[in-house]
Amino acid sequence: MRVELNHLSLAYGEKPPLFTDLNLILNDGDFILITGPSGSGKSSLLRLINILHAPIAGFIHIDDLPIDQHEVTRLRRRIGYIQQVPVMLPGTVRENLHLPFRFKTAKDQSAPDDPKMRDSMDGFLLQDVGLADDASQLSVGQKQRLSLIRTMLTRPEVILCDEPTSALDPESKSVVEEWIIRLNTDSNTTILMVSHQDFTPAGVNPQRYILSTNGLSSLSAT
Amino acid sequence: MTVVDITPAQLLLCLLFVAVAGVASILYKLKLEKDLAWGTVRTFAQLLLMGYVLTYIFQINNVALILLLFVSMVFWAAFTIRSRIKEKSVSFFLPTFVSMVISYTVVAIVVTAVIVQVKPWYTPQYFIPLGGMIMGNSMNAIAVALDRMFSDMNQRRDEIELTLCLGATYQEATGDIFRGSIRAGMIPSINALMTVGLVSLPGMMTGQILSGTDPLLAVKYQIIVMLMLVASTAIGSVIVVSVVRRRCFTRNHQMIV
Repeated sequence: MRVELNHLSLAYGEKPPLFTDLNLILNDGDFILITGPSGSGKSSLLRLINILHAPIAGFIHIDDLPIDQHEVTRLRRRIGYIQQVPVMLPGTVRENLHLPFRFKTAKDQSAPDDPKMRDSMDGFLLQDVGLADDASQLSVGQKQRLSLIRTMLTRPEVILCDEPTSALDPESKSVVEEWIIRLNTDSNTTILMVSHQDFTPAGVNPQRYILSTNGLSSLSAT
Repeated sequence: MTVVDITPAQLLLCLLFVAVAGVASILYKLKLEKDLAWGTVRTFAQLLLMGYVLTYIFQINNVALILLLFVSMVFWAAFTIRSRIKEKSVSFFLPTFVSMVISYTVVAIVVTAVIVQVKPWYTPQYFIPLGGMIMGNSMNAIAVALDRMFSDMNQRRDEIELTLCLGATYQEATGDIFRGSIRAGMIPSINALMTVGLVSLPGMMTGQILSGTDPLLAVKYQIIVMLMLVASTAIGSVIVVSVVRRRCFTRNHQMIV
Protein backbone atom coordinates (compact mmCIF):
# COMPACT_ATOMS: atom_id res chain seq x y z
CA MET A 1 0.00 0.00 0.00
CA ARG A 2 1.30 3.44 -0.93
CA VAL A 3 0.14 6.34 1.24
CA GLU A 4 0.84 9.86 0.06
CA LEU A 5 0.20 12.92 2.24
CA ASN A 6 0.26 16.15 0.28
CA HIS A 7 0.37 19.63 1.83
CA LEU A 8 -1.72 18.59 4.84
CA SER A 9 -2.77 21.17 7.41
CA LEU A 10 -4.64 20.40 10.55
CA ALA A 11 -6.42 22.62 13.07
CA TYR A 12 -9.13 22.04 15.65
CA GLY A 13 -11.89 24.64 15.62
CA GLU A 14 -10.64 28.20 15.90
CA LYS A 15 -7.27 27.21 17.36
CA PRO A 16 -4.07 27.87 15.40
CA PRO A 17 -3.02 24.99 13.11
CA LEU A 18 -1.08 22.15 14.71
CA PHE A 19 0.88 21.84 11.49
CA THR A 20 0.74 23.08 7.93
CA ASP A 21 2.06 21.84 4.58
CA LEU A 22 2.94 18.36 5.79
CA ASN A 23 4.21 15.99 3.11
CA LEU A 24 5.08 12.32 3.48
CA ILE A 25 5.10 9.18 1.36
CA LEU A 26 4.84 5.68 2.81
CA ASN A 27 5.82 2.79 0.56
CA ASP A 28 5.53 -0.94 1.21
CA GLY A 29 7.92 -2.08 3.93
CA ASP A 30 8.92 1.41 5.11
CA PHE A 31 9.68 1.98 8.79
CA ILE A 32 9.07 5.63 9.57
CA LEU A 33 9.64 7.20 12.96
CA ILE A 34 8.22 10.64 13.72
CA THR A 35 9.19 12.44 16.89
CA GLY A 36 8.08 15.75 18.26
CA PRO A 37 7.09 17.35 21.54
CA SER A 38 3.79 16.58 23.25
CA GLY A 39 0.95 18.45 21.61
CA SER A 40 2.74 18.83 18.27
CA GLY A 41 0.05 16.83 16.48
CA LYS A 42 1.70 13.40 16.18
CA SER A 43 -1.42 11.49 17.23
CA SER A 44 -3.58 13.76 15.10
CA LEU A 45 -1.43 12.93 12.08
CA LEU A 46 -2.15 9.22 12.58
CA ARG A 47 -5.86 10.00 12.93
CA LEU A 48 -5.73 11.81 9.59
CA ILE A 49 -4.16 8.81 7.88
CA ASN A 50 -6.78 6.54 9.42
CA ILE A 51 -9.49 8.96 8.22
CA LEU A 52 -10.78 9.48 11.75
CA HIS A 53 -10.36 13.18 11.20
CA ALA A 54 -10.28 15.46 8.16
CA PRO A 55 -7.49 17.97 7.37
CA ILE A 56 -8.34 21.64 6.84
CA ALA A 57 -6.15 21.64 3.73
CA GLY A 58 -4.25 19.18 1.58
CA PHE A 59 -5.15 15.69 0.47
CA ILE A 60 -4.32 12.05 1.08
CA HIS A 61 -3.87 9.55 -1.74
CA ILE A 62 -3.80 5.84 -1.13
CA ASP A 63 -2.57 3.63 -3.94
CA ASP A 64 -2.68 6.76 -6.13
CA LEU A 65 -6.38 7.36 -5.48
CA PRO A 66 -7.88 10.08 -3.26
CA ILE A 67 -9.33 8.56 -0.09
CA ASP A 68 -12.82 9.65 -1.16
CA GLN A 69 -12.60 7.13 -3.98
CA HIS A 70 -11.93 4.28 -1.59
CA GLU A 71 -14.46 2.47 0.54
CA VAL A 72 -13.32 3.84 3.88
CA THR A 73 -14.31 0.85 6.02
CA ARG A 74 -12.24 -1.50 3.83
CA LEU A 75 -9.38 0.97 3.75
CA ARG A 76 -9.26 1.21 7.54
CA ARG A 77 -9.05 -2.55 7.72
CA ARG A 78 -5.87 -2.43 5.65
CA ILE A 79 -4.40 0.07 8.11
CA GLY A 80 -3.81 -1.16 11.68
CA TYR A 81 -3.82 1.37 14.50
CA ILE A 82 -2.11 0.80 17.84
CA GLN A 83 -3.11 3.49 20.31
CA GLN A 84 -1.05 4.83 23.18
CA VAL A 85 -3.62 3.60 25.70
CA PRO A 86 -5.04 0.27 24.53
CA VAL A 87 -8.83 0.02 24.36
CA MET A 88 -10.66 -3.21 25.17
CA LEU A 89 -14.41 -3.57 24.73
CA PRO A 90 -16.43 -4.98 27.65
CA GLY A 91 -16.21 -8.77 27.42
CA THR A 92 -13.71 -11.59 27.40
CA VAL A 93 -10.30 -11.77 25.79
CA ARG A 94 -11.77 -14.10 23.15
CA GLU A 95 -14.56 -11.63 22.33
CA ASN A 96 -12.03 -8.84 21.97
CA LEU A 97 -9.84 -10.86 19.63
CA HIS A 98 -12.92 -11.80 17.59
CA LEU A 99 -14.06 -8.18 17.40
CA PRO A 100 -12.55 -7.38 13.96
CA PHE A 101 -14.40 -10.36 12.47
CA ARG A 102 -17.88 -9.20 13.52
CA PHE A 103 -18.16 -6.54 10.83
CA LYS A 104 -19.46 -6.64 7.26
CA THR A 105 -16.00 -5.83 5.94
CA ALA A 106 -14.79 -9.15 7.39
CA LYS A 107 -17.49 -11.36 5.88
CA ASP A 108 -14.93 -13.13 3.70
CA GLN A 109 -12.62 -13.78 6.68
CA SER A 110 -13.28 -16.29 9.42
CA ALA A 111 -12.52 -15.53 13.06
CA PRO A 112 -9.42 -17.28 14.42
CA ASP A 113 -10.06 -20.44 16.41
CA ASP A 114 -8.97 -20.90 20.02
CA PRO A 115 -5.68 -22.72 19.28
CA LYS A 116 -4.59 -19.96 16.91
CA MET A 117 -5.43 -17.23 19.42
CA ARG A 118 -3.71 -19.19 22.20
CA ASP A 119 -0.63 -19.58 20.04
CA SER A 120 -0.50 -15.84 19.30
CA MET A 121 -0.94 -14.98 22.96
CA ASP A 122 1.84 -17.34 24.00
CA GLY A 123 4.12 -15.66 21.44
CA PHE A 124 3.44 -12.38 23.25
CA LEU A 125 4.26 -13.94 26.66
CA LEU A 126 0.59 -13.94 27.71
CA GLN A 127 0.59 -17.56 28.92
CA ASP A 128 -1.10 -16.60 32.18
CA VAL A 129 -4.03 -14.87 30.42
CA GLY A 130 -7.02 -17.06 29.52
CA LEU A 131 -9.29 -16.58 26.51
CA ALA A 132 -12.31 -16.48 28.85
CA ASP A 133 -10.76 -13.87 31.16
CA ASP A 134 -12.42 -10.48 31.48
CA ALA A 135 -10.36 -8.20 29.21
CA SER A 136 -11.07 -5.12 31.33
CA GLN A 137 -9.26 -6.71 34.30
CA LEU A 138 -5.91 -7.05 32.49
CA SER A 139 -2.92 -4.75 33.06
CA VAL A 140 -2.16 -1.99 30.54
CA GLY A 141 0.82 -3.99 29.28
CA GLN A 142 -1.29 -7.10 28.72
CA LYS A 143 -4.00 -5.05 27.01
CA GLN A 144 -1.43 -3.45 24.68
CA ARG A 145 -0.08 -6.87 23.71
CA LEU A 146 -3.64 -8.09 23.05
CA SER A 147 -4.31 -4.95 21.07
CA LEU A 148 -1.33 -5.73 18.83
CA ILE A 149 -2.48 -9.34 18.40
CA ARG A 150 -5.97 -8.13 17.48
CA THR A 151 -4.50 -5.80 14.88
CA MET A 152 -2.18 -8.50 13.49
CA LEU A 153 -5.08 -10.93 13.05
CA THR A 154 -6.56 -8.61 10.39
CA ARG A 155 -3.23 -8.70 8.46
CA PRO A 156 -2.96 -4.94 7.82
CA GLU A 157 -0.54 -3.63 5.21
CA VAL A 158 0.33 -0.56 7.29
CA ILE A 159 0.44 -0.24 11.07
CA LEU A 160 0.19 3.17 12.70
CA CYS A 161 1.74 3.13 16.18
CA ASP A 162 0.94 5.95 18.57
CA GLU A 163 3.61 5.76 21.28
CA PRO A 164 2.61 2.15 21.81
CA THR A 165 5.12 1.45 24.57
CA SER A 166 5.03 4.70 26.55
CA ALA A 167 2.69 3.36 29.24
CA LEU A 168 4.14 -0.15 29.44
CA ASP A 169 6.26 -2.06 31.94
CA PRO A 170 9.74 -3.13 30.69
CA GLU A 171 8.64 -6.69 29.80
CA SER A 172 5.60 -5.58 27.78
CA LYS A 173 7.65 -2.81 26.18
CA SER A 174 10.31 -5.17 24.84
CA VAL A 175 7.71 -7.70 23.59
CA VAL A 176 5.69 -5.06 21.76
CA GLU A 177 8.77 -3.42 20.22
CA GLU A 178 10.16 -6.77 19.14
CA TRP A 179 6.89 -7.71 17.40
CA ILE A 180 6.56 -4.36 15.65
CA ILE A 181 10.07 -4.76 14.27
CA ARG A 182 9.34 -8.37 13.29
CA LEU A 183 6.19 -7.33 11.41
CA ASN A 184 8.29 -4.93 9.39
CA THR A 185 11.24 -7.18 8.71
CA ASP A 186 9.44 -10.54 8.32
CA SER A 187 6.12 -9.52 6.77
CA ASN A 188 7.15 -6.31 4.98
CA THR A 189 4.43 -4.44 6.89
CA THR A 190 4.81 -0.68 6.68
CA ILE A 191 5.28 0.86 10.13
CA LEU A 192 4.63 4.50 10.95
CA MET A 193 5.46 5.16 14.57
CA VAL A 194 5.11 8.46 16.42
CA SER A 195 6.83 9.07 19.71
CA HIS A 196 8.04 11.95 21.84
CA GLN A 197 11.14 9.86 22.60
CA ASP A 198 13.75 8.57 20.23
CA PHE A 199 13.53 4.88 19.44
CA THR A 200 16.16 2.69 17.80
CA PRO A 201 14.62 -0.47 16.44
CA ALA A 202 17.15 -3.29 16.35
CA GLY A 203 18.01 -4.45 12.84
CA VAL A 204 16.03 -1.68 11.11
CA ASN A 205 17.16 1.67 9.80
CA PRO A 206 14.01 3.79 10.07
CA GLN A 207 13.38 7.01 8.20
CA ARG A 208 13.35 9.65 10.95
CA TYR A 209 11.36 12.87 10.91
CA ILE A 210 10.57 15.57 13.41
CA LEU A 211 7.13 17.17 13.42
CA SER A 212 6.69 20.90 13.94
CA THR A 213 4.11 23.51 12.95
CA ASN A 214 5.81 23.71 9.55
CA GLY A 215 5.30 20.02 8.85
CA LEU A 216 7.89 17.25 8.79
CA SER A 217 11.67 17.69 8.64
CA SER A 218 13.83 14.70 7.82
CA LEU A 219 16.38 13.67 10.43
CA SER A 220 17.74 10.72 8.46
CA ALA A 221 21.30 10.83 7.15
CA THR A 222 21.22 11.31 3.39
CA MET B 1 -75.40 12.43 33.60
CA THR B 2 -74.51 16.11 33.62
CA VAL B 3 -70.99 17.43 34.09
CA VAL B 4 -70.43 19.81 36.99
CA ASP B 5 -69.25 23.14 35.60
CA ILE B 6 -66.18 24.86 37.03
CA THR B 7 -66.45 28.60 37.61
CA PRO B 8 -63.40 30.90 37.28
CA ALA B 9 -63.43 31.31 41.07
CA GLN B 10 -63.27 27.55 41.55
CA LEU B 11 -60.45 27.34 39.05
CA LEU B 12 -58.49 29.98 40.93
CA LEU B 13 -58.86 27.91 44.09
CA CYS B 14 -56.41 25.48 42.47
CA LEU B 15 -53.72 28.06 43.05
CA LEU B 16 -53.75 26.82 46.66
CA PHE B 17 -52.02 23.65 45.43
CA VAL B 18 -49.21 25.68 43.87
CA ALA B 19 -49.03 27.82 47.00
CA VAL B 20 -48.42 24.66 49.07
CA ALA B 21 -45.59 23.67 46.73
CA GLY B 22 -44.23 27.24 46.87
CA VAL B 23 -44.21 27.22 50.70
CA ALA B 24 -42.36 23.89 50.66
CA SER B 25 -39.84 25.38 48.23
CA ILE B 26 -39.24 28.39 50.50
CA LEU B 27 -39.04 26.32 53.70
CA TYR B 28 -36.58 23.83 52.25
CA LYS B 29 -34.68 26.35 50.08
CA LEU B 30 -35.43 24.40 46.89
CA LYS B 31 -35.28 27.61 44.81
CA LEU B 32 -38.24 26.45 42.76
CA GLU B 33 -40.54 29.41 43.46
CA LYS B 34 -39.86 31.19 40.17
CA ASP B 35 -40.26 27.99 38.14
CA LEU B 36 -43.49 27.16 39.96
CA ALA B 37 -44.91 30.62 39.33
CA TRP B 38 -43.87 30.69 35.67
CA GLY B 39 -45.08 27.11 35.15
CA THR B 40 -48.48 27.98 36.63
CA VAL B 41 -48.87 31.04 34.43
CA ARG B 42 -47.90 29.01 31.37
CA THR B 43 -50.30 26.20 32.27
CA PHE B 44 -53.21 28.63 32.50
CA ALA B 45 -52.21 30.53 29.37
CA GLN B 46 -51.32 27.57 27.14
CA LEU B 47 -54.36 25.47 28.07
CA LEU B 48 -56.82 28.36 27.84
CA LEU B 49 -55.34 29.29 24.46
CA MET B 50 -55.63 25.68 23.32
CA GLY B 51 -59.23 25.62 24.60
CA TYR B 52 -60.13 28.60 22.42
CA VAL B 53 -58.21 27.21 19.44
CA LEU B 54 -59.94 23.85 19.76
CA THR B 55 -63.37 25.48 20.06
CA TYR B 56 -62.64 27.41 16.86
CA ILE B 57 -61.24 24.42 15.01
CA PHE B 58 -64.14 22.17 16.07
CA GLN B 59 -66.52 24.72 14.58
CA ILE B 60 -64.61 25.21 11.32
CA ASN B 61 -63.69 21.50 10.88
CA ASN B 62 -61.23 22.33 8.09
CA VAL B 63 -58.63 19.63 7.31
CA ALA B 64 -55.87 22.13 6.46
CA LEU B 65 -56.34 24.02 9.72
CA ILE B 66 -56.45 20.79 11.73
CA LEU B 67 -53.23 19.55 10.16
CA LEU B 68 -51.62 22.97 10.67
CA LEU B 69 -52.43 22.80 14.38
CA PHE B 70 -51.12 19.22 14.49
CA VAL B 71 -47.84 20.19 12.80
CA SER B 72 -47.39 23.23 15.04
CA MET B 73 -47.80 20.97 18.09
CA VAL B 74 -45.08 18.69 16.67
CA PHE B 75 -42.89 21.75 16.11
CA TRP B 76 -43.09 22.66 19.80
CA ALA B 77 -42.43 19.06 20.78
CA ALA B 78 -39.28 19.00 18.61
CA PHE B 79 -38.25 22.42 19.97
CA THR B 80 -38.67 21.14 23.54
CA ILE B 81 -36.52 18.10 22.75
CA ARG B 82 -33.78 20.30 21.32
CA SER B 83 -33.76 22.56 24.37
CA ARG B 84 -33.49 19.56 26.70
CA ILE B 85 -30.43 18.07 24.99
CA LYS B 86 -27.08 19.58 25.98
CA GLU B 87 -25.20 18.37 22.88
CA LYS B 88 -24.99 21.26 20.41
CA SER B 89 -22.26 20.13 18.01
CA VAL B 90 -24.76 18.35 15.75
CA SER B 91 -27.84 20.14 14.44
CA PHE B 92 -30.70 17.76 14.93
CA PHE B 93 -33.80 19.96 15.20
CA LEU B 94 -34.91 19.72 11.56
CA PRO B 95 -34.47 15.93 11.14
CA THR B 96 -36.18 15.41 14.51
CA PHE B 97 -39.11 17.62 13.50
CA VAL B 98 -39.55 16.02 10.07
CA SER B 99 -39.27 12.47 11.45
CA MET B 100 -41.80 13.27 14.17
CA VAL B 101 -44.29 14.82 11.73
CA ILE B 102 -44.16 11.75 9.49
CA SER B 103 -44.35 9.09 12.20
CA TYR B 104 -47.00 10.80 14.35
CA THR B 105 -49.22 11.64 11.40
CA VAL B 106 -49.17 8.01 10.27
CA VAL B 107 -49.95 6.68 13.77
CA ALA B 108 -52.68 9.26 14.41
CA ILE B 109 -54.37 8.53 11.05
CA VAL B 110 -54.23 4.76 11.66
CA VAL B 111 -55.89 5.24 15.05
CA THR B 112 -58.68 7.53 13.86
CA ALA B 113 -59.34 5.97 10.44
CA VAL B 114 -58.68 2.27 11.01
CA ILE B 115 -59.19 1.54 14.72
CA VAL B 116 -61.75 4.08 15.99
CA GLN B 117 -63.13 4.49 12.43
CA VAL B 118 -64.10 8.12 12.76
CA LYS B 119 -65.51 9.67 9.62
CA PRO B 120 -63.81 11.76 8.38
CA TRP B 121 -60.45 10.64 9.86
CA TYR B 122 -59.42 14.20 10.67
CA THR B 123 -62.44 14.91 12.90
CA PRO B 124 -60.68 17.32 15.30
CA GLN B 125 -62.44 16.04 18.42
CA TYR B 126 -60.48 12.79 17.94
CA PHE B 127 -57.47 13.66 15.80
CA ILE B 128 -56.09 16.53 17.91
CA PRO B 129 -56.38 15.03 21.43
CA LEU B 130 -55.06 11.66 20.27
CA GLY B 131 -52.23 13.37 18.39
CA GLY B 132 -51.44 15.45 21.48
CA MET B 133 -51.12 12.34 23.60
CA ILE B 134 -48.87 10.70 21.02
CA MET B 135 -46.61 13.75 20.99
CA GLY B 136 -46.47 14.23 24.75
CA ASN B 137 -45.37 10.67 25.42
CA SER B 138 -43.18 10.24 22.40
CA MET B 139 -41.47 13.58 22.99
CA ASN B 140 -40.28 12.37 26.39
CA ALA B 141 -39.14 9.05 24.92
CA ILE B 142 -37.20 10.74 22.12
CA ALA B 143 -35.59 13.25 24.49
CA VAL B 144 -34.48 10.44 26.81
CA ALA B 145 -33.21 8.33 23.89
CA LEU B 146 -31.26 11.19 22.27
CA ASP B 147 -29.78 12.30 25.58
CA ARG B 148 -28.66 8.74 26.28
CA MET B 149 -27.20 8.36 22.78
CA PHE B 150 -25.13 11.57 22.96
CA SER B 151 -23.97 10.82 26.47
CA ASP B 152 -22.92 7.25 25.57
CA MET B 153 -21.18 8.42 22.41
CA ASN B 154 -19.10 10.86 24.41
CA GLN B 155 -18.30 8.38 27.16
CA ARG B 156 -17.51 5.52 24.79
CA ARG B 157 -15.69 7.53 22.13
CA ASP B 158 -12.56 5.35 22.40
CA GLU B 159 -14.55 2.17 21.84
CA ILE B 160 -16.37 3.65 18.86
CA GLU B 161 -13.13 4.82 17.24
CA LEU B 162 -11.47 1.48 17.94
CA THR B 163 -14.22 -0.40 16.11
CA LEU B 164 -14.16 2.12 13.24
CA CYS B 165 -10.40 1.54 12.95
CA LEU B 166 -11.04 -2.20 12.71
CA GLY B 167 -13.30 -1.69 9.70
CA ALA B 168 -16.73 -1.22 11.29
CA THR B 169 -19.36 1.02 9.75
CA TYR B 170 -20.74 3.75 11.99
CA GLN B 171 -23.88 1.64 12.44
CA GLU B 172 -21.81 -1.31 13.64
CA ALA B 173 -19.62 0.87 15.84
CA THR B 174 -22.65 2.35 17.62
CA GLY B 175 -25.03 -0.63 17.50
CA ASP B 176 -25.02 -1.20 21.27
CA ILE B 177 -25.43 2.50 21.96
CA PHE B 178 -28.32 2.74 19.50
CA ARG B 179 -30.16 -0.18 21.08
CA GLY B 180 -29.51 1.08 24.62
CA SER B 181 -30.86 4.53 23.69
CA ILE B 182 -34.09 3.20 22.17
CA ARG B 183 -34.62 0.92 25.16
CA ALA B 184 -34.08 3.80 27.58
CA GLY B 185 -36.70 5.84 25.73
CA MET B 186 -39.25 3.03 25.56
CA ILE B 187 -39.03 1.62 29.07
CA PRO B 188 -41.41 4.22 30.63
CA SER B 189 -44.12 3.37 28.04
CA ILE B 190 -43.69 -0.34 28.68
CA ASN B 191 -43.75 0.19 32.46
CA ALA B 192 -46.98 2.14 32.01
CA LEU B 193 -48.53 -0.93 30.31
CA MET B 194 -47.66 -2.98 33.39
CA THR B 195 -49.09 -0.60 35.99
CA VAL B 196 -52.09 0.95 34.26
CA GLY B 197 -55.31 0.19 36.11
CA LEU B 198 -53.40 -1.17 39.11
CA VAL B 199 -51.38 1.85 40.15
CA SER B 200 -52.53 4.61 37.85
CA LEU B 201 -55.79 5.72 36.26
CA PRO B 202 -54.67 7.54 33.11
CA GLY B 203 -55.68 11.15 32.58
CA MET B 204 -57.67 10.57 29.43
CA MET B 205 -59.76 7.81 30.95
CA THR B 206 -60.31 9.85 34.10
CA GLY B 207 -61.35 12.81 31.97
CA GLN B 208 -63.85 10.78 30.01
CA ILE B 209 -65.36 9.30 33.17
CA LEU B 210 -65.61 12.76 34.77
CA SER B 211 -67.41 14.01 31.68
CA GLY B 212 -70.00 11.24 31.97
CA THR B 213 -68.72 8.55 29.60
CA ASP B 214 -69.47 4.93 30.51
CA PRO B 215 -66.33 3.66 32.31
CA LEU B 216 -66.14 0.57 30.06
CA LEU B 217 -66.13 2.73 26.93
CA ALA B 218 -63.49 4.95 28.55
CA VAL B 219 -61.43 1.82 29.25
CA LYS B 220 -61.64 0.73 25.60
CA TYR B 221 -60.38 4.13 24.48
CA GLN B 222 -57.64 3.97 27.05
CA ILE B 223 -56.45 0.56 25.81
CA ILE B 224 -56.25 1.96 22.28
CA VAL B 225 -54.33 4.96 23.58
CA MET B 226 -51.87 2.88 25.61
CA LEU B 227 -51.01 0.63 22.69
CA MET B 228 -50.91 3.58 20.31
CA LEU B 229 -48.41 5.28 22.62
CA VAL B 230 -46.13 2.24 22.66
CA ALA B 231 -46.18 2.17 18.86
CA SER B 232 -45.58 5.89 18.49
CA THR B 233 -42.73 5.97 21.01
CA ALA B 234 -41.11 2.99 19.26
CA ILE B 235 -41.52 4.39 15.74
CA GLY B 236 -40.63 7.95 16.75
CA SER B 237 -37.55 6.92 18.77
CA VAL B 238 -36.21 4.52 16.15
CA ILE B 239 -36.61 7.00 13.28
CA VAL B 240 -35.32 10.05 15.15
CA VAL B 241 -32.37 8.29 16.81
CA SER B 242 -31.41 6.68 13.47
CA VAL B 243 -31.51 9.99 11.63
CA VAL B 244 -29.64 11.91 14.35
CA ARG B 245 -27.04 9.14 14.71
CA ARG B 246 -26.37 9.44 10.98
CA ARG B 247 -25.64 13.14 11.45
CA CYS B 248 -23.04 12.35 14.10
CA PHE B 249 -20.81 10.85 11.39
CA THR B 250 -19.49 12.04 8.04
CA ARG B 251 -19.93 9.94 4.94
CA ASN B 252 -16.40 8.67 5.65
CA HIS B 253 -17.63 7.29 8.99
CA GLN B 254 -15.79 9.97 10.95
CA MET B 255 -17.32 10.81 14.30
CA ILE B 256 -18.05 14.54 14.59
CA VAL B 257 -19.72 14.86 18.02
